[in-house]
Amino acid sequence: MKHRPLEASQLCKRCAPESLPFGSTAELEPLSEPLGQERAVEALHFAVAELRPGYNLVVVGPSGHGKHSFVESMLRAAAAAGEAPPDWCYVHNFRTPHQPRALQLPAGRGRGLVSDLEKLVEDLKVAIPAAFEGEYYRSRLQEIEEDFRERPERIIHEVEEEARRSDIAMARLPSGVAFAPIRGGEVLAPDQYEALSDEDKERLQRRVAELQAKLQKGLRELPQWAKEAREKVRALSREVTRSAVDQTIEELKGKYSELADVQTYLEEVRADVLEHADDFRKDEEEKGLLAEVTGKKSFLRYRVNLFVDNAETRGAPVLYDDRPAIDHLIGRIEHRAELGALVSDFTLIKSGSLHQANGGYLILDLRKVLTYPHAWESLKRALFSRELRIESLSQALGLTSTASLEPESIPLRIKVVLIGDRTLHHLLSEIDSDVGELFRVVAEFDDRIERTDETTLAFARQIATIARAESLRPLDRAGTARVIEHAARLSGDSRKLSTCWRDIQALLDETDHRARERGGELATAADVQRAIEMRLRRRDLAQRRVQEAILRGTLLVDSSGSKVGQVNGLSVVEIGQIPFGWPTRITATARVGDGKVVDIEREVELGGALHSKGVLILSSYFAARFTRQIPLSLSASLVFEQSYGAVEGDSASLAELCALISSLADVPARQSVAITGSVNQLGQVQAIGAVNDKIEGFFDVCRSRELTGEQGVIIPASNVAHLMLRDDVIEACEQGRFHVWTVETVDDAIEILTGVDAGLMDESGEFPEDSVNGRALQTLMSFAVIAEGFRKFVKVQVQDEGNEDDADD
Amino acid sequence: MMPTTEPPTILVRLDASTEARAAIDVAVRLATAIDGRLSGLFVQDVDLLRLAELPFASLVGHGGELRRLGPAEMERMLDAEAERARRWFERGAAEARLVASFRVVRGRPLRELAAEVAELVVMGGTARVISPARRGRLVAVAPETPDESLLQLAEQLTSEPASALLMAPRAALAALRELVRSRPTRVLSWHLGVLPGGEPSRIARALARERPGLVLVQGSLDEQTLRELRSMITCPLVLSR
Repeated sequence: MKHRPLEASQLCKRCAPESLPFGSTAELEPLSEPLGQERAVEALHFAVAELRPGYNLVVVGPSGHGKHSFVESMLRAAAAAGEAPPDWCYVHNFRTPHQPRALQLPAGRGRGLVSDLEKLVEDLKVAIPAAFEGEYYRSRLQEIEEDFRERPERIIHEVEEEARRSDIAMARLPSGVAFAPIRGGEVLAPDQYEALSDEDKERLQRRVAELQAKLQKGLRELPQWAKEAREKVRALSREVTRSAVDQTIEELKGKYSELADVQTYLEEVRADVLEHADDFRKDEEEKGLLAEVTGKKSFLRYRVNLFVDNAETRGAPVLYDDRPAIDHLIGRIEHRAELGALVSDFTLIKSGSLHQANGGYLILDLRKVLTYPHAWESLKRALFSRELRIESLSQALGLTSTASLEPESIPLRIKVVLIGDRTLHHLLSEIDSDVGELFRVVAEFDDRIERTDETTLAFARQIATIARAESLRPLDRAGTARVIEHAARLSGDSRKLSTCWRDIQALLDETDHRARERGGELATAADVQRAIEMRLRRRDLAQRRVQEAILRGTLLVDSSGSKVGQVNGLSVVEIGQIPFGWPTRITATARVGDGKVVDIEREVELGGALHSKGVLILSSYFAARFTRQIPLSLSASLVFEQSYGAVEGDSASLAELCALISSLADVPARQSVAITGSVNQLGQVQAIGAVNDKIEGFFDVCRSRELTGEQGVIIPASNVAHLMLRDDVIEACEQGRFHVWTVETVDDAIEILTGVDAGLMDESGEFPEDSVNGRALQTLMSFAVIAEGFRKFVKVQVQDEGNEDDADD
Repeated sequence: MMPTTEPPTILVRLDASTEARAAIDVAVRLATAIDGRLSGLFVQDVDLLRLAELPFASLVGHGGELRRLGPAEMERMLDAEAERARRWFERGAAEARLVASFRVVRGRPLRELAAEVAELVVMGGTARVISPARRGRLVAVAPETPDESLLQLAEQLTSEPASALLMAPRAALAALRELVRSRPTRVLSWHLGVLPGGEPSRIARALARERPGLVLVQGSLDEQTLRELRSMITCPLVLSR
């Protein structure tokens, strides 16, 4: 036989259990670093060691490959050697209350400051009233008050004395003081007054006016005296308060003597307490609802908001923020309802993950950072400015202009690690040049590793690591080998192993479940196999629906007989990350035309660019192969029958070419054979993806009908290395009930498909007459003759019509 | 001094220049202590009415402002003060459940007082006019031959331990010292002081220097001395005749 199917041994690269140098995975040492990610690990180490700004890290790679867990464990190891960052507190700014001050304290000292200030207030609530109850204050206050109160009395008294000397009485009335001349101890009667001489009247009036003026002058000084008295009372209050406050404040200053900012703050507290000593003296009885609220607020300004507490932090912090919304990332200012209004103060400032991780490492999911509004911009601004300034989203977007807090910014010293997929990172780098400046280190996680003896053993150790970490049963040697084969299948390449640890772990979990059900201490190959099958079975509904439609004849796919211009192509569909093969009927028709191959899929805009490219290549192939010396007078149509969705990729181009050649040569193609592969314009067959799924898809259809021994699949020879077929497929091939052929050229595929010699071109450019190519060429030549004849006919007709017109003229 | 059959009368004498509340408070305390009855007398001073009729009559307000003052306004002012005093008086008496009466007369305050028959007279102070009531100590003025009733009265006017000043002519001090020492309970801690003799104004000045919160005088005072006292002290004055 000219074209031999592949041997069973070529259909899957087995992992021989006996090649594994252990009895079970329990004997293996766990791996400390992710398998096959040496370059990524190297990048990570570099980023951690490089302390200059901008050396933040992006870790890219497909999901499920252990990026997150490795990055976190590696950062934790690096952070353990670091120092715990300082505590940060927000305190009241006594000068500009809307700009709360940030205080830095050594890690763990923040809690002490909080309790010290609470205790200070409680102490002062007792000490200050006590000082004001003391004899010193009371007597001094009495002096001031009496001095003030007696001043008007003294003035009145002085004026009264003066009036008396002038025989003028001073009458005190509820609304003031009046003067009247007296005679014999009684006020002068009006008639007595009238009886006085003008001179006496004038003298009396003048004297009364003088007394009034003197009294007025004295009384008008009362506000100034009141002010002076208030000043004296205030000074006395300050003096008395200071006596109660100084010792406590000085003790606190001594406690925080090495912290200049705290010292300054305590001085400000002292000054404020001296100014607001009355707040500490209010009686409980005085407190209504409003007084209670305002009272609490007055003491609230002495509280300390321990914003970042690193008392329990050992080493540098490592934090993963799984919700990097702007408020979660850079902190927020909360509000509380108070007497019907929303108010805020420095105690309501809440830290964000950047604050919590300041001095250490913050891990973020790239996609999430980009998804939350303004989070990416806020992160960049913080990294560029190297300081953290809290603002709300509405403030950041300039949507609100209401008065709000503007907390003092905090210096930022952090390494941010973004984790995401490669495509997203590339896209972001394209549109945002800041990415390269802020995230200068990129660690790429590979999704597969080379399959060698060394990596196979390392892979087994990775299996052992997962099993140990997840408390799963160890796998025996055969079970381990089966997992390794599955990893190769997942990678889509028999020479590679997938590093998608999420999938491997899911398989191990299920394997452990099977082993537990069985009561085995070790998980075996049968457990692994059962787990693989059950996983597929649970998720193969779509695949079963397609199979059912084919078997019931709803989807027209033959698996026996022969047809001209019709072949079975192979598609692969991925639903929920589960790929499965799906045979599709491809038909071709040919007629006289202008050298154009019509792709029906493209015409109706169901064909993707790659598929259209594959079809266009067919025209070139025909031109190069058959019609170098004759015009290509062909018009052909290609159809994916019963395809109702988009068709992408060029893996059907070989099948389409075979269908077209079958049509041109009028040679029937075997319907028991499906074909996949892409073709170039020289007729060489090229590798395609998902070869295993495609083969198994057609195999399942054939097996459901009946394996006749005629059925099989044609694949590119370059895809042999990718074969990791299911055991049942391999078994059928071993028994000669199914076949996998490899081809390198279109001619190879045509011969397997038609059973007829393709035919080699001789020196004169001719093919053997009975060969498929010869028959196709004959058809093309006949098309060319017909086309030429038709062109001449049309030309004559046109000329005749012209002559008739001339005659008419 | 105290009749045993008739309840003693405490006369509260008020006029437009006095602070009614403080005087009424003192009188109520006193009446409650000695089970007496209250008699309120508001004197509308005819001298004030005369004053308002003068062509240049003006009033210097507490803030130093000057405005014209006429008879009609003075009438209104006196009526309003009398009404205010009456309200305070009746409320104080009712709260203490005391028998009380209140009258308004027109005349000269000190002269009208002399005409009244009452064992105890409380006169309002003038403190309200300029400054709020002060908290000074009790100052008792004893005659040359003092008796224990003055100390007793002083203690009846006092609800909690405090210090008080007892002023008397030098000659009476020794007897007073004995009286003070012999009292079994001492709500008040007494200090003794010399009351100068001579001009009424000297006595008044000596009292004023002590900045009293309440002045209690035993014995009768002539009109001149009373006038001096009224002009120099701003607290209520209790006369025990």
